[in-house]
Amino acid sequence: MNKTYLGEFEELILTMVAVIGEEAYGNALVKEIKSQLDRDVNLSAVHITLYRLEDKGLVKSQMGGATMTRGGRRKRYFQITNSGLNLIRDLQEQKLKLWKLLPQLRFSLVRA
Amino acid sequence: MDAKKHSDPPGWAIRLLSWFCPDEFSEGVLGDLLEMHEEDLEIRGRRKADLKFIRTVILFFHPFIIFRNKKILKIINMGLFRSHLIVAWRNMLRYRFYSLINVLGLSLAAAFLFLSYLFIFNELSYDQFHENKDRIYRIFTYDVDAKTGQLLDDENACITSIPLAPALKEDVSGIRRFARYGSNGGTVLQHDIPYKETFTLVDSSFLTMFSFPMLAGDENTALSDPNSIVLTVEKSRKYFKDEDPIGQSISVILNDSTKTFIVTGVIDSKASVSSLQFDFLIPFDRFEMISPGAMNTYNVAFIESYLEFEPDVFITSETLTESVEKDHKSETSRWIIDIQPLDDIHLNPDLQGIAEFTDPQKLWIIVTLSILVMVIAVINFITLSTGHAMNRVKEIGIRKTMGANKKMLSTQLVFEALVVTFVSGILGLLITRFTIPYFNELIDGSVTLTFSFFHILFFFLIVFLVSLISGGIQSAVLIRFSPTEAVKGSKIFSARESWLNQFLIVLQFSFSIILVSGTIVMWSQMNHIQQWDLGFDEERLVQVNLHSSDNPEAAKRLVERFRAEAISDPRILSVGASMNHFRDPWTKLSFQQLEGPPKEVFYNQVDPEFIKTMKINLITGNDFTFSKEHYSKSIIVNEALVKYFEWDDPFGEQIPGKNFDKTHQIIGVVEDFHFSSLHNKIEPLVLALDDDPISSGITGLSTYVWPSNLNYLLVRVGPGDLNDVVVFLEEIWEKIDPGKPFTHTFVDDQLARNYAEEGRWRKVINAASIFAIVIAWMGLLGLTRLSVQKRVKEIGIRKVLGSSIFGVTSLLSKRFLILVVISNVIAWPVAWIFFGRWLETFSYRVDLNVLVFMASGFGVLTIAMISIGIQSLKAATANPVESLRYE
Repeated sequence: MNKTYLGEFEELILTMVAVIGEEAYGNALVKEIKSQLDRDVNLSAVHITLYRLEDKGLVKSQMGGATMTRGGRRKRYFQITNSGLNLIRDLQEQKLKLWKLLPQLRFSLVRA
Repeated sequence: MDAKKHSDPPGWAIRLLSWFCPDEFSEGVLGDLLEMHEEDLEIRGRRKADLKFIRTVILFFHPFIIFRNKKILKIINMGLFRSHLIVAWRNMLRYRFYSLINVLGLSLAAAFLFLSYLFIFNELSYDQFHENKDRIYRIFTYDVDAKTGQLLDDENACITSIPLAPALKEDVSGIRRFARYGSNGGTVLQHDIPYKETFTLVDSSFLTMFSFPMLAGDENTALSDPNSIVLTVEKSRKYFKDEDPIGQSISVILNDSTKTFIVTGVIDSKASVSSLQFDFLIPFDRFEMISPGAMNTYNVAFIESYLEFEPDVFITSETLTESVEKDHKSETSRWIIDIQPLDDIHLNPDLQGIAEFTDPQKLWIIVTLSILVMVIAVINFITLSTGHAMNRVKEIGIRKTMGANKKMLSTQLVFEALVVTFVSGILGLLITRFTIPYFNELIDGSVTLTFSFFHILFFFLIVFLVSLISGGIQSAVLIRFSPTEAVKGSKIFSARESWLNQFLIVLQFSFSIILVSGTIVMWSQMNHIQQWDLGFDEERLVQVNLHSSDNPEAAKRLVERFRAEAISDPRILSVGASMNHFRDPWTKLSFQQLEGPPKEVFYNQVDPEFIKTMKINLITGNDFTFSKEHYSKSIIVNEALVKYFEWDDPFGEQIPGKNFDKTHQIIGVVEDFHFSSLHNKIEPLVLALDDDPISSGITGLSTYVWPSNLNYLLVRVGPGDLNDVVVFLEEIWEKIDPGKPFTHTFVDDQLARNYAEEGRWRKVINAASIFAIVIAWMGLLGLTRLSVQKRVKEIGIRKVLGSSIFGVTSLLSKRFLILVVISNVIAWPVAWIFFGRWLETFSYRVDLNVLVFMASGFGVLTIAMISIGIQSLKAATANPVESLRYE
């Protein structure tokens, strides 16, 4: 089976696109990641990842309507596709499975 | 348009983005960027918003985006790309000689540039690894006049007293913790063998406040036990080989008493670039063993103090000063407590303490040098390429006829430049790789070549920049000709006469001459220093470390015993002793004058034989050996002190200290001698047998050694082999004082080390000027050869018509020689101003001599003449038949 693998950042962006839903465009993602996870990400990284996800068919995009701000430029909205949704669901399940396999958490104090 | 009003990020960044960003993304991306910028503008202000905008645009320059770009791929048409590559390669091979000069020059310059980049990168990364670095500050203090607020002495001290930091923590809210940092010499005793080491004493918070990488041990508790010791990996390896050091014990002699410490942690000192250097860390309270008298006084300063503030708290200098002022009120002066951010301490020349420091001037020198060398190499590249491009004008003409436009042609030329630069860059990297050890030795640095993101970025930046500049200038020269002129090979175009080339050659040689005269100026100044009369005889003087305890009487007895033994040998002329070391600044005492501002004088405790042993000239009065009667009151001062207080008869005078409750008797005045480096003027100095006559009423002191004591033996040795004498001294040492290691130095070596820094920089400039000369010379060689080649037929005809060899040679070389002479005229005043300012950093310096510049100019001229002459002579002596045969 031809499996798609995702990097950590790709997974984050993909999930975020799903979380935000309709209003997912570059800046919105940056802000949401900041507010939800308190993590600073660069706009360029977000965009590059979005296009990469689009290539993989995990998200799709369309241009929004004309705006008065942003120098009159339209926004490119991203939306998660079915295969994208399936993928993050799979990933979540895999992680849960592994998490359950973890014996008992012992925080070791022994230092190297 | 509406948005334009609110936010207008740099236009070039927008254009850049729309240039490389594929159209299908461009609108969405740019819109987002503008939106981001608009918001940032409100929150962070214009400068930060712009910076972030530019950074984000640059980060978009990502392979994923670029290779998406159909537009660019269309421009860099793969077929054309290959064709360019092939043409570039063929050209490189066809003109091997010139390509070799270009590549060699560029790669040498690139290597120099890379090395300096690595050095500067390393210097800038100092102290950046501490997690709390934004909240950590170093304390420094200074005195100002209470009424006028004027600075009372011109030095800011980062050296503080022991109780200051805890007192501030106690009194001022918002200080999270403090750490004090001081060091002291000591001896590690292992298997009865003594090893001299330096111990750094720090508060237990030192390890949590700073983020030194610990390989073993817990930073929270490692230094809480008074007997704990933390060491670096190197020292752990030295003393414990491969064993686990944790829990091992280590015997240390500090100030005569032996203590056993238990190792509680190991730090990887190599993993971090830090100004705070150490080998061994022991708890700060151990200063009790070293200088118990200093524990509770504000008057003795010899450590550095660091404060960490609570998050989001900033405490002003005013608050800190007021907190201290409550207990230390003075009517005449104010003692200002100020703070300096942690990341400022490594490169700030105004505030120097114990922490490792680099003069930022160094960075500028090295940047300037490497850029100069690079410019010289780039000029070679341009002049040679445009020079022999005569041959390519036809190619360009044909390309034009076939429909190539200017843009395409310049793309091609830039691309060819790129190929050459890239090859040179790679070669330069290789050179860098193999010269790093020598470079480190030269500048006393610790740079390493790693392939981090920034390093690679820098590499490509340089390669692109160099090829853009040189390719751009080439195309500007070559493309302006119309195809007909070019294909006809019309004489209109003659690169060798272009003003541009002449200008560039002049520039090149001016730089070379400046560098060469710099080398000569530095060399003569160093010579001057070495031959300068220091006011005492520094040769054949051995200094032996007494490792004194705080018992001054014991040290005096030790000196006496040593002298008694040593003086019996005829090779030893006399033995004296001193408190201060010639390597370090001497002790400085400050006191309140009866009238006027506080004054500082230098102080050294000596023994009676000191002046005789040092061969210091006594101007009037006697030295301490004359009479033992007034020992406890006698002091000897230097001329500078007498001059400062404007005394006519120093013997009847007292140093006008306000709180001096004991009198002293000046028994002699010595000629000024240089007890500090020649960078400084000779300041007032007091010599005494102990601090008794002068210590009461002292308001502060800055020193490397305290309390006052005899710390070093000075042995004046007569003619003969010095090494034998040292062996003999060691035997005496073993006889009278076993248990402490015998460590000796030669005073002249120590003094030379004061100028080691200048010596190193002299070598760097040397290297740079050699690079510059060689590269410029190669360029000239190439250019002459070109101009000769172009005139081969002309020369043949001239010879046939009866021109002499001399006539032809001078015809060919005249033009270049004139250029070199012009360069001299330009370079001299520049070098004069530049090196005159450098010399001003020395209080005792050579006069700038016109001869220096003439010599360097003449030297460069000679070298240039050799290369021009050889080429011209070769052309002039050739048989005209050879060149005219096929006409």
